[in-house]
Amino acid sequence: MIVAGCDIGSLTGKALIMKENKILSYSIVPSTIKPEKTSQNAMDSALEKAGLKSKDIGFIVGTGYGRMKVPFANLNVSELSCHGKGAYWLLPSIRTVIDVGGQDCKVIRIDDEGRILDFAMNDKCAAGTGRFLEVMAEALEVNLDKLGELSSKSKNPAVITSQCSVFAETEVISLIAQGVEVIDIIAGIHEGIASRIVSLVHKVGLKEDITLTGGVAKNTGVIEAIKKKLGIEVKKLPIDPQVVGALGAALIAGEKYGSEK
Amino acid sequence: MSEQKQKQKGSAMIETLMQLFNFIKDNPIPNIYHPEAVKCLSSYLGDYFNYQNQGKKTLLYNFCFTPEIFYAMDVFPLCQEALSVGLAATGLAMNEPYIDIAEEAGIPKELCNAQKPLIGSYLKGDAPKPDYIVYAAQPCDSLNIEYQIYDNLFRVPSFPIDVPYWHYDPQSQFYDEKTLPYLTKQIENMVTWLEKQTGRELNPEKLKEVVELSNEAQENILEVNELMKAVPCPLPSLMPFNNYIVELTSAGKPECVEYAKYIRNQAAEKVKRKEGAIPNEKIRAVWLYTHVFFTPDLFLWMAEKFGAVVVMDMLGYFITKPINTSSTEKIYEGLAEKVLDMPMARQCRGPAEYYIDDYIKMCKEYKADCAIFSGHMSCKHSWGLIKLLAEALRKELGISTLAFEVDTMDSRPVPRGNIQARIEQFFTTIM
Amino acid sequence: MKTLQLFIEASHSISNSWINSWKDKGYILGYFCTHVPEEVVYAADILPVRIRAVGCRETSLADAYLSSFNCSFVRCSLELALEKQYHFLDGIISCNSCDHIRRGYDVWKHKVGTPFKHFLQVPRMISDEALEAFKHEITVLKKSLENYFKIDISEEKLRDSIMVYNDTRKLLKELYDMRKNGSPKISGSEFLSVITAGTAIPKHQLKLLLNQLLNELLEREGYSDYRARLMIVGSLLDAPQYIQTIEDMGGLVVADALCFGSRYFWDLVKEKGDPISNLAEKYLKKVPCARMIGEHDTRLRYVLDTVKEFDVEGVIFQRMKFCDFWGGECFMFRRELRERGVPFLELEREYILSGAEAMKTRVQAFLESIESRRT
Repeated sequence: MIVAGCDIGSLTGKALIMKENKILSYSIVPSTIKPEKTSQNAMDSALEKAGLKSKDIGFIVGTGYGRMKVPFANLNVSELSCHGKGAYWLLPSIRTVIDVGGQDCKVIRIDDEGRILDFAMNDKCAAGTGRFLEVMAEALEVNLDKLGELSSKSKNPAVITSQCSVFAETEVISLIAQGVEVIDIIAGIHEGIASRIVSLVHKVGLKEDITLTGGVAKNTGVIEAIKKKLGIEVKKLPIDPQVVGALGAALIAGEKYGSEK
Repeated sequence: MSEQKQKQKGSAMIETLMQLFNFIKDNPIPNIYHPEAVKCLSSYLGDYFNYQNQGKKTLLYNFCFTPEIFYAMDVFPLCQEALSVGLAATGLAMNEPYIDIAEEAGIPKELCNAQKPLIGSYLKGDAPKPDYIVYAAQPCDSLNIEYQIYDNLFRVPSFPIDVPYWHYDPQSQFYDEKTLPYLTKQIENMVTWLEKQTGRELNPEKLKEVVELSNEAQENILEVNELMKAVPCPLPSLMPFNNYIVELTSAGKPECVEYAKYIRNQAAEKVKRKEGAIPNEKIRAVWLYTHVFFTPDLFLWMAEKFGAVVVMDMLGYFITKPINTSSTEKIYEGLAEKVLDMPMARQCRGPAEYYIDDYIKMCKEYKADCAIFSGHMSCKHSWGLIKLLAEALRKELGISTLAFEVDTMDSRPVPRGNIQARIEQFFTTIM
Repeated sequence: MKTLQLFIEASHSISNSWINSWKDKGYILGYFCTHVPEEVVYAADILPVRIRAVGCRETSLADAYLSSFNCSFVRCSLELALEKQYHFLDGIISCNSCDHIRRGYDVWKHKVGTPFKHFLQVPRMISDEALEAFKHEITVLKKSLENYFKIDISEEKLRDSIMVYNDTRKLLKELYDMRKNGSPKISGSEFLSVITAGTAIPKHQLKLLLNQLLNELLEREGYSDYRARLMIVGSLLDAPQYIQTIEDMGGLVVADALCFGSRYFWDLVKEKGDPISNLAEKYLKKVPCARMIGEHDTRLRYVLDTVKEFDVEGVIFQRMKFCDFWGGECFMFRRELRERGVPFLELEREYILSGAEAMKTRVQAFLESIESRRT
């Protein structure tokens, strides 16, 4: 029984193929304007990696922002359920999942069986999302991938007071002009984004173990800042954090396929 | 742990505030908090603990009510907003952590931060549970619902008082003959209720004594407010607020009378000598709202940089007439009038005309050159009329209004620098 | 479903064919808030129409007087009025339901030019004194109408008015109760269309239409293909489209505690005794809005009773941005419903609908959560 999950976000599309609870392959592709095309691209890539054809897949679940436009999906499920499911399957001790994507941030509380208890979302404001980091990286003329490494060198993080990412960008530019060290500014930016994320976590209520998913989870600087603020360990999942949603979708596909047969 | 000790344990918020005011008392900040006012406030906060030690009860009330009855009934009147505003007024960002805790617990961001800190503080264990709550349902929705939340969290005996929309003055176009009787009856009911709660009857003689002291203080404050109309203005910008906070918490106590007399004499002396609070008075501003609590030195900066003095603000406009004490019934009626006329409540509880008419009068009598509205962002009813008010001030008196957004209790959304930039721009434009 | 279609169409605009016909021979009064005793107005042969702002696209005129910190419903209503879309009103009645409504009225009375204007003071608490105060206010309203429109509101006319209003209340309740069924014959969004349209239809005619509708629905297949049964609580909501978005995700809305909803028709006015006293009693003591102080426990009980009677599996609490009363109420409800194991979803909204995608994600996750817990 081969199933797949397809997570179509605004910045990236992901597909993951599973067989009998084993991951066969996954892919991450850039999003196009049309979710239908993005999902096709992601799926084709994952199929190729697994050496399969689309007719080999018994059930497909779509999730993410473009979930209702995945033409070959049998079902669509919210990314909240999928991230919760995926994280729990990878590490059953997880009870709080923080998904920081390109354009939004979600905190999902799951129970002892991986089911959603509660959630909170910020999808109105760029502060606390990947976009915030993108804007800042550009202002600092630094590679997005290097942010974590650079901030780890900082001994004296700058304080960024602006609550809004637009004003924060202005603030960062003025810090650069004042000659503040880039590594300190980056550390300050990480503290800023961590602040927003932690605020959202508290809205839902923190329960260990916690983990991060989504693209921003690859930024060690943000993880460190969150760890510091919460005073607890942030567990790392044994998979690319960007595909946890697609994994959860595939797991749900497996459940549905099983029950439908 | 004894119940008393338990209560004191959860009083970190009050303890902190008291210590800060004691500090200010010993290290006075001229032209911001008057030493005599700080003395009264330190003593007031100290009394919270004194009452506790004597096994007496605490009654939480809101800033749109008045404490005479509570003093007469020997329960400590803890004014909620004196705590939150007091903490903001230290300029040390002490409300911010409590605000965050409350919002993370689910209190919407848009509710007023004058009431939110107590919720956060209580959830953290820094605020005590009062024995009783009494509140007048004014000036706004935010206060009304946040006190409902206090009721819901504390689950202690509570007596809300409905405040009429209409006016008690027959000269007013909004006069309704039921206004005063409706409120007076509720105050009477509240006393009956408090007697049942405390197991003690109100002593009419004691009430009369307390109200007469309150009257004496009030007479002096009324004189002070008259004297503030002089050019140059005899007392610094924050003086009206100092007066207000003493009256709000200590009306009915001898020290409030002493304070009021002291300030009155100071003002009278300066007016006699034609001496202004600042050496070079260039701009007389009327503040259309409460000032920005978290930055008490803003007015100092305005005085130094622009020779601007705020001759009157919303909380300082304490215009209640002394209360007729010839009988207990008359006292209740007088207190009802006082509640309807409490600063801010008076302007905000009814039609926009209450606010607009008061301020046209104020700007005229205080010879204002301009008006400034520090628009507290969660204050929906004042933001809902500021444009009408600015229109009226221009039309009637030809004066300009500056309106800017701010959170008067939280230093983060609009920092001091932004406010200064707006005021600077305004002053340089109009002068 | 001819009659249902009529209601749905009428709900799309602030005016309708009944208003147009009435205008030829009578006066029309707009009113804010369900605390206003409509019967008094109707007894004067004046048509009371609840102010809505459906169709409002932006609020540039209203924002010249109100602010971005004011409720979007009030700003939108004022906008339509300033655009002269409410020119057909001969009068406006408002009350101190909340800060936004009263400031909206402060601007309206100066800037809109509606001929008759009246403001009603509604007590914020339920007590004997409050009841007396409210009785007095209603009497003042009655006299004000009589003086201005030169008409006598006799006790008999009041009684007749009360009776027809009670009749429509009973019919609306009958319609509402149909949703207790496992396969309700009317959806949440359809029901909201009926209520909202009904606030602008003369009650004598509404009565006939409701009877017609109930008959039509007998023949109808019920809705059975839904994922969960939901209840909506919170701020003023008069947009069937909002409920439709929830129902499109599979959540059938079977109950509510809204003022354009069950709280509008739940309590009847007593028909024996002094009409003014009876009106004061119903309009003060009816299932309370969050503005009513000291009544939170009553509201909670009402919601819990409804959850039980209507087999509600999840409560969606929607609050309008800047709505202090329902915002604070949400804080209390969230804790209390969760403690009792009732699934709870909080949604923030503005009057002009937007952000449907964000809403759909939350509703879908909520439904998935409810389904995952079913034994």
